[in-house]
Amino acid sequence: MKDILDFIINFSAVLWEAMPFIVLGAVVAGILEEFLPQQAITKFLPKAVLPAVMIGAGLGLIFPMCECGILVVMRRLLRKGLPLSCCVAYMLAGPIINPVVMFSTGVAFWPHGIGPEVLGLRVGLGFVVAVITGLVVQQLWVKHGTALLHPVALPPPEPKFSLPLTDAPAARKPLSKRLGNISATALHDFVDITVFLILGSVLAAVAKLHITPDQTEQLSREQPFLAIPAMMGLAVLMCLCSEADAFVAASFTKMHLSAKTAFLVLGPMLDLKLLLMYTRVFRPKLIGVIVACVVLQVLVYCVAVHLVYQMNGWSGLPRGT
Amino acid sequence: MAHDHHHHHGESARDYFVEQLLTIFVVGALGAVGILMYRDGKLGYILAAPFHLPVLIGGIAVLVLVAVRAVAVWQEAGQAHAHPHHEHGPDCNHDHGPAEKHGHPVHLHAHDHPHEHGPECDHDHGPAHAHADDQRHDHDHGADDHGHSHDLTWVFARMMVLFFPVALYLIGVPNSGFSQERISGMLGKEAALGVSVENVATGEGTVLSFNDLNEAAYDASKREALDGTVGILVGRFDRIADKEFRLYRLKMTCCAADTVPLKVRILTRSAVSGFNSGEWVKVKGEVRFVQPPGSAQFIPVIAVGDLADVQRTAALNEYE
Repeated sequence: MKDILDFIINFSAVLWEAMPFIVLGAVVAGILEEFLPQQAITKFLPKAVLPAVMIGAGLGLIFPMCECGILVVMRRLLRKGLPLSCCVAYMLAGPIINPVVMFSTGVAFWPHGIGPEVLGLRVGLGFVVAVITGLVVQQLWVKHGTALLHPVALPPPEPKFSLPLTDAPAARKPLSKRLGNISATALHDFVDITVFLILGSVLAAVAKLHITPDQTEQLSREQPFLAIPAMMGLAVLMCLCSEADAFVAASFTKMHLSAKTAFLVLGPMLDLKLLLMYTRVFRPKLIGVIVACVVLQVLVYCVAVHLVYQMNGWSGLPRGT
Repeated sequence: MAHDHHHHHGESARDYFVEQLLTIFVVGALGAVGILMYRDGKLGYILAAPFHLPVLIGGIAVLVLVAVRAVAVWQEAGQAHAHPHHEHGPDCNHDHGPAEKHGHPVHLHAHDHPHEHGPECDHDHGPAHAHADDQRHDHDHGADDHGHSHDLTWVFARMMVLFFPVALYLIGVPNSGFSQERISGMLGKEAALGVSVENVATGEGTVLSFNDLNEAAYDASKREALDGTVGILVGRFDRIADKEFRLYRLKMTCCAADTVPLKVRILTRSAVSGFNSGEWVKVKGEVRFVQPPGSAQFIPVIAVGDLADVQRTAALNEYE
């Protein structure tokens, strides 16, 4: 019975924390759908892939959203013609490279004397992982095209024939009609994503019944080479909001900075609830590629960070001793 | 601007309205639960205070969306009802139903009026897309075209998932914080420091917070400021050894899922007894910072000279 109640607390916490941001994302999606002309956003992007993907990865600075809300907005941007590579880069980096999360990361680690290091590593690695993954996705897009996307996320097809009245001025819609359309889109997106948010929250709550941060810390102490993968696994299971995860990471006072970085970079990009929510945007093949790309990069980069610290004799632990 | 328009969804307008009404009902209930949880104070068990207002606003926003949608569906139903049915002849080229899934008026007969497609319909006819009067095109929608099946089984399944948090609220949970077993798991096991307690400072003492003490452990200047002062700390009891226990409170940054325990070690001169695990206790003693064996880091400690300074007290909020 106690386990059930603990499950309900964890489930409710993950769900209700994300809910307002899903609503916000859904309303933004509704407005985008109604007011943003098809392909308009692509006019502002460079033609070259790399700069475009890099801009996508930095979009969170202008449109700060958490990982739950960003998915809904990203899907609409995808339908509006934003290239898949840019969308993926925005989706992965946006929950890390945004003012709110950067501020909370700095605040969480400031008392430990490693605030600038953790913030720099989180933002830097988050950007690199998102851009590289975006470029990989671009290669897949060239090969497979729309077969990578869930039909709900597909941009509307071009008309099969040219029409004589295509350039006719758009008819002005009454406000009530516009509101109706916005609410229809917003409600549709809200339902579609929330169903999978709930299922993901259930999985996360079940996982949290059996795994505690203390167990992870203990495992890392006993098997130091497992510290980074263990923290990555914990990030996937805990389903924390990117605005709060830095405080949890900071509480692992005996854990090396490289393992904390792995937790902080991977968590906003991949967790149980996000994995289920991704199924409403991407086909399994693309999800597999994104997951593999993100996990491998985070692992490799964080091991590299660990080695750099080790070679230079830096402790990678909270200072103030 | 008339055009014939093929839809081969093979579903009825009735299914469409059932889906819409279920969505309005269940999503509306979800929004209402957000508002009620805010009103009842139940959010305090699962979310940090700064997140309570966003849930309220989110709940209200959902209800507004649902209300606007309900009006639109009502109008669609009226329009559908107003159109007389007609018999389909062999050359009548449209099916009834699925087009109406997309958040726009149901058309139950051949139509010669402009129409708009809603969110899921992948063949939007934007404002610039107009058809010549005699333009005619077909587009079939399989279930896959839309990314989900419109069949009612799928609709009911989704609604059941969405109803789950509503059902939890209806049966009155969550109605407390984490269980003691769960909290013990968060606290983890710690070895006794085994430090002897001598020459404990006495005095009135100032009220301390777990957060300040734990932050000071990492900051030499803060340690210096607090070290040797007399402080009072209220927290929950957890025994480590005869003359050593820890007080703890929980810290929630955003939600219960990110809860971490804040701990302060209490050292006494003589053995402590009579306190149960999890019991709320007030302690007065001298603040010290100690490095556990084999660690370069300091942890906050309160040294208690007189057991009379360890007392039961009224429970505070679980979270500091």
